[in-house]
Amino acid sequence: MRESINPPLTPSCNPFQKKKGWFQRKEMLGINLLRLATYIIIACALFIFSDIFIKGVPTLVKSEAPFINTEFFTESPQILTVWHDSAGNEYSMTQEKHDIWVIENPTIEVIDIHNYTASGGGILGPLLGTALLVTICMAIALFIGVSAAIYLSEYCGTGKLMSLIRLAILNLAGVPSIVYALFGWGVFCYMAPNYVTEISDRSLFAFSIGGGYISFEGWEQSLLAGGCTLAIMVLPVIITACEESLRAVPKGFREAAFALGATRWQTIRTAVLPYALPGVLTASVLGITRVAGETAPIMLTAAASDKSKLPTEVLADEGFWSFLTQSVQALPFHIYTLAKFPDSEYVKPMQYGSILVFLLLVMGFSLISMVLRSRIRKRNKW
Amino acid sequence: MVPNTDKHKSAKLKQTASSEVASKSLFKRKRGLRIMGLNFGTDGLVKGFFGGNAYLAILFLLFICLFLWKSAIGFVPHYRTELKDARRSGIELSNIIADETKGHQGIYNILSTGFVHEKRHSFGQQEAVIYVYEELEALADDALEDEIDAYLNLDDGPEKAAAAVGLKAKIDAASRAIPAAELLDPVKLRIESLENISEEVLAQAIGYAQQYALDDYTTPAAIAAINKDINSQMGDYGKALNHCKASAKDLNTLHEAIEQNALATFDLLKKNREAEESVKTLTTGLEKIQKVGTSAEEVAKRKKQINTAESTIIKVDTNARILPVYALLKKHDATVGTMKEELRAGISMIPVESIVTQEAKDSVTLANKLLVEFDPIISENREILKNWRHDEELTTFDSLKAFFFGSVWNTGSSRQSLFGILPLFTGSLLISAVAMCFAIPLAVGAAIYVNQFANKREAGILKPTIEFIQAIPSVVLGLFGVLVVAGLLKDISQVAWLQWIPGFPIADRLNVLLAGILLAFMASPTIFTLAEDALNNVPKAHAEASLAMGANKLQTTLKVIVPASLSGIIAAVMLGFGRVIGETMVVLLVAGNMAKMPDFTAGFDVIGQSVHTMTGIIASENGEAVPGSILWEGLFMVGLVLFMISLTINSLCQRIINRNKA
Repeated sequence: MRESINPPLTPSCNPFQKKKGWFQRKEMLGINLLRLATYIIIACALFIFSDIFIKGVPTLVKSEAPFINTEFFTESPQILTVWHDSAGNEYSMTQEKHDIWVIENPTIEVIDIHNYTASGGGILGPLLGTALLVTICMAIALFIGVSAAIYLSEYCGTGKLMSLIRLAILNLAGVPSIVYALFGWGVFCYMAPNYVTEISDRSLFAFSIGGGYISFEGWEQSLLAGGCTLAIMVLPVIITACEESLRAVPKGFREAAFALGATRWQTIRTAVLPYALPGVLTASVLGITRVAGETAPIMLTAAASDKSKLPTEVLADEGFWSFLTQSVQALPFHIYTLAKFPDSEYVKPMQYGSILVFLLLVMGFSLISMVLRSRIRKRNKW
Repeated sequence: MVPNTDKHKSAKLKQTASSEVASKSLFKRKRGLRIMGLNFGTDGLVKGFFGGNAYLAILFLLFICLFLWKSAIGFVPHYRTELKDARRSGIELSNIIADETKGHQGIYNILSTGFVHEKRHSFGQQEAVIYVYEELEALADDALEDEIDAYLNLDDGPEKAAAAVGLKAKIDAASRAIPAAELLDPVKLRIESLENISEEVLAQAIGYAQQYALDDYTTPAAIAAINKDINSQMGDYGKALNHCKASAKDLNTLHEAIEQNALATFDLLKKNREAEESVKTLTTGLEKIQKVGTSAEEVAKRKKQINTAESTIIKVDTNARILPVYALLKKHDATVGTMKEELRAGISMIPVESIVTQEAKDSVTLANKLLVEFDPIISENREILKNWRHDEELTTFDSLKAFFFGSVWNTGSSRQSLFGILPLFTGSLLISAVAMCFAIPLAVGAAIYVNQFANKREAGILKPTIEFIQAIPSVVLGLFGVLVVAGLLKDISQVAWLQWIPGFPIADRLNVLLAGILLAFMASPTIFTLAEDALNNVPKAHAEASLAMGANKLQTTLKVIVPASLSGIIAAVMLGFGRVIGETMVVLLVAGNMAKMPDFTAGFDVIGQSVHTMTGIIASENGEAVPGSILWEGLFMVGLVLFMISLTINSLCQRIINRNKA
């Protein structure tokens, strides 16, 4: 009898459980829609990564030891030649190898020959070019940017002018890169002072020095012009990020140092910079991520799609100034060049190999900056 | 306490120096060297160094604004000269008349497309023979060019006859070696309605192709006969069409005559301008060299260059040269009237009752409709041409108007360069709008979900992953779009049960929709991060109050939290928009780069068209721009517009975000 009065408490007859009414269903539907939006973005990202990864990895690895396609990292891009012989066999080699092959096989008839720019060989030239551009850019941008940030946060007050300047810098951080590219193109490529032996007609101003002239006629499309353009582009980002990390150091630290009799510089050196350093580091890695991924400024101010010499070889052969004012290949511009062959099977390995390497590089830097940032957030709880 | 005067510091120093603790102090200080009130000690130098760099950075950033303005502002007077030359030489007039000929051509094209449809329907197989033959002809030409040439160079005689047999066999072998599919695919593209082309057709076509090479590159009689046969059966329709085509003959001749005259004058004016420009550059170059001090030889060389440049300047009397144009213009009214009447007559001659295909019927209806719309354009043009004067003044305002409201961007042609930013601006805006349509629901939805509904672990994974997307370089995304998404989108757009989606099927491979989708993906992390921040800033009490009133979580989110953070979310969306409109590489690679106005009459199909953008034009035309040229200044003008747009958006967003923080 007792049992029939108190039935066992199975979930189905829990007296406190609410019935799922229309409102609950509506709520679940709404939440699931929002969840769907989130996972669509994640799915797109996964699709892109996996597609590039699956199609790009075969270019980078080999089946034999050392399992890495070393040629891809030790050669520069070359013209890829694809042809058939009369028996219908297909050949694809770099143009140089093709020329040798023709000499070695004079009897085989070559038909249906096609050339593809920058699709053979490897990506050493562009990799080096990008590394150099990023190095020059970061050297300039960090030097100016960090000092400017220190000045803005430690020395000058919060007057009207200063807050206006801060606002201007913040706004300039959002200006499209192509506008910076246009600026760098006009200023660094055609107006900056250069050491020349003969003055060009477009020179703005010139004076003689030693055997040649210093002429304000620009560096043309060069490593230096590209580096400077990128530096100016990333300057607002670095200043803003560095200033933020300097401001995050509690006021008490500075006050304590002042109370001990330190001068302002001593305070900055001993009580502010050491604690802001991880933040500055994060800012610089963030800057590298932004700069390395940019294409438009490089395209206008520095890039050469085809170059026989490596930048380092120019340094060895022609001296430092020629090294700085040479045009370089860069990985993003190399990828842009490859985009001109959307349907060719022969160019695919180079396309996917290049974008995989580029993606991994930029993503790597981005990952470092994210890890650094989260570590700082965890550690600095003062 | 922060010591703020040196006096203060030194007093304090004396105090601390006396104590024992301070002698072990970390901070040793020397009194700074002071000259003329400036501190030249370590502290002062350090401050000067930092301050110098800060002001250098600020100067650089200020310089950007000034430089952009300076380079862009020169465009206005230069463009005015360009437009003035176009007016003085009569090109402007020629363009107005070209509108009429283009209108006629458009109507005729619609009619002839209908005609071709009708023809295909009735004579598909015969036409296939012609097309296969044409394909074979091209292939034979490619593969056996040398041999055909050698054959044609032979003298008539038995030798040639023997060679003909050999050549025939070779062409036969070559054309049979080509896989039938390869041959027929292009033909099928041309004749969509044709399902299968028979062996017979193929053999016939191969036969004709042999004939072609042997007959000295002339179309074989049989092919001509097929054409004739088709035409005779389509008789009346064809005749009516020819009548339509011929109706514009006079107008075309008139336009041609005016165009030639105008182009000749314009060319002279342009050359003069270039010569003047180069004299100017050479002279300033010489002055610079003389200032620096250089050899007399060099100076003499340069002077000679200047003289040669000067000698190329020819005086052009535009008033005299324009007279024939005015003479021709008198005939225009009558000519265009005849054209219209004849075109109407031609269309009415089409035997509508005997037309079989719906496409052809539609084409006639459409042509009639367009003809009615053509009338006001013609009378308007008449009015404009009546008042047109070649020496009418152009103001600076006209040149600005032509830039901001001009609907054609065309540079690098032999005619006048046209810098109308409207097609580029519309293209940029269209792509951004499409991108925002995708990005706003996805990114804001994701922000709401992650902030309100995801549990801590889920959010810990989702948030960095979405932020990580930001690091994908745009050129990678662009190339991925070209390689993968373009094909995918095109295939999807052709799926039958998806045809209800506006814009499907998509005509061009590279189009607005593709660029929009990729940019939406790019803008999502920006919008997500900022919107999530905005949601985070809503005080907890709001949500608690709402829950206490009995609202469920979704109601609380949508009716309390989202409205409270709406301004922040709007700022996030605007910043995302700013990022999208300034993006270069993706649009350069996937938007198709056709510098023409998007055709909005197509309705939603407009998202399937190719467009050009403001960012894209700078990246694609910088190669041709010489420093100081009008194209260079035009590009800077576009850059300035972009700069202003992004500054406006950014400062608005900063204001909103700052207000929220306060």
